[in-house]
Amino acid sequence: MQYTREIFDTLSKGAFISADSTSQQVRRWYDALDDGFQEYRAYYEGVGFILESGDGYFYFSRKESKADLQRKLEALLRWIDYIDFLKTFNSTFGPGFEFTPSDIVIAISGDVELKDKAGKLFPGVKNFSDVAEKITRELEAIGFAEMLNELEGSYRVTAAFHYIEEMMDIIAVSEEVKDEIPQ
Amino acid sequence: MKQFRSIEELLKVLAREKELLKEMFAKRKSLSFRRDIAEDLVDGDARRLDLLLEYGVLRQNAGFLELEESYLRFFEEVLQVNEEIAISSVKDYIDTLNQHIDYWLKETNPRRKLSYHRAVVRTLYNIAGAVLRSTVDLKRNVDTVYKNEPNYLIKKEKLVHLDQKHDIIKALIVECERVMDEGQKAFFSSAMDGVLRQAVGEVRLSLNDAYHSLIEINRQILEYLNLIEYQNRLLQKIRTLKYLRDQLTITEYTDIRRRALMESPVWMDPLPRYRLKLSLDSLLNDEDALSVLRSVVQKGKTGAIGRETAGAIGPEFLETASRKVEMVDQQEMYNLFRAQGKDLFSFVVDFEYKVPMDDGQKLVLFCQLATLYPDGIQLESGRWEQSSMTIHEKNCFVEHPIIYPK
Repeated sequence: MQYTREIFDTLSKGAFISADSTSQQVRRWYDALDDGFQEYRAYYEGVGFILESGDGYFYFSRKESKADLQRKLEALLRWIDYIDFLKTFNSTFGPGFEFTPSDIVIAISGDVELKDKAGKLFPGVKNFSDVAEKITRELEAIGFAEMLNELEGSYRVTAAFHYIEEMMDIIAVSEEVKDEIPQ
Repeated sequence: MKQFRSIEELLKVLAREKELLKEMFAKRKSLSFRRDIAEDLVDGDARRLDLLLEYGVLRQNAGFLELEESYLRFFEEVLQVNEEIAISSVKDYIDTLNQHIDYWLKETNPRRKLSYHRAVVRTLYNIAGAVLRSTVDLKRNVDTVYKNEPNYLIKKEKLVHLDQKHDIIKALIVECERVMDEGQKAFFSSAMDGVLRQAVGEVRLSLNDAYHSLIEINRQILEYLNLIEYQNRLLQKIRTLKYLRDQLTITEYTDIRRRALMESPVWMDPLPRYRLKLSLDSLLNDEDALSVLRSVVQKGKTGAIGRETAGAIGPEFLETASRKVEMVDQQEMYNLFRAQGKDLFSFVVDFEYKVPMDDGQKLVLFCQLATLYPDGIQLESGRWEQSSMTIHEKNCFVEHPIIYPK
């Protein structure tokens, strides 16, 4: 097993490791995890983490969460806001999508709906370029987006974004309200 | 409309205007090529543009120019960048094939019979060519539409449309093979010669290749359509969740609470802080530990940790104190010296001081006065006197000049 320490450092902070990372180093970690998944899983289980795999990404979970229900709910709700904002910005926003924070700013300025959502996204942050920067930071911190070109300031959405999409997909909505919701 | 009289003339005109045609072909999708820009590309010669318009190479629409459809299609197909898949209905191709076979069967003149035979061979090659080209076009267009079309609804419709094209090509292959195997069995058995055999063999191979590619393309189209369907559903789901969240009813109408209970990914946890105690052994023996300690001390200096503050300043330090030092005022002595008649040495020695002065101090004062006010005194030239003085408890003679005020 290689890179156990680096992988632990990344995953234990709640970040993801993606197959299509822009960093060669991260791709190597992914390949190592992919090749010896069972071995790594058993190894990290010893220190209380469960290595989970998805469609092109790995992450850690625990048997017993350290976060209480309220905190977990807040995290999920926060990401519903983010994903709703990002999909309004561009409906194709997903793995492989490339963007710059200034693209987001331009889109906000030209779209009333997006403007409204941007104003409510982060409490106290009203400046559009700050909103764009902040959402990009959030995506980058968790490993859903990575810097592609430092000079152009462009980012690419990683395969780990599938995780949050799948998470949204599996939340079941009650049949009785489905018809009430404006499409 | 004029017509080109020969291929040579056509090629000559096209070659002369190649810069213009190149630019117009590159901008064919924007449909807004201004006439004045076009004139620049033909060296400002409007007659050359008019000639192209007359020959029907270009078409003018208000102030804009565009390539005539037939030329545009020709360039696109030859360069294999066409988005339209040029395949007519299956019936057209098969009808042409059947017609030529029919003529061959009915014709009795051997020369004309031969020409129909050749026409059949050419039609077979045409069908194979059309099928192969369309298959390649289809493959390229499926990818292009999926990757570049930004509008989901249009993307879906385009893919469905391409799927229909796929069905047409597939039907053409099946129909063509059926004609060769069953429909015109009489022709293919009686007219089979070397040329036809080779043609049939090659066409069968091409059709077979195309058929296999079509299976793959169909799979790809279905996959793309499914992906679009998934994306649409996801988009809808996210909108729904957001709506319920804004209505503050999300925990009521969804199983998000149960989901949150079930899932325990680390990203939802508070950021971990690991507090580790350093081992004393390593602190004592490790070189690295020393540098760690140094950096901790440095931090302490900059105020990050453990700064020791000084106590309050005691009141005794704040009181003002004075010390009295009694001294002889040199200026006053000089003034008094000028107001009397004695020489300086006698004046300094005999003066009645308020503070006790020994002979040594008097001698110093004498020297100070003599040097401080050189302009106010005058030396008796060549006249020196000796006086006895007690300096440092020793009796000695001091030789000094005689000085008077000026």
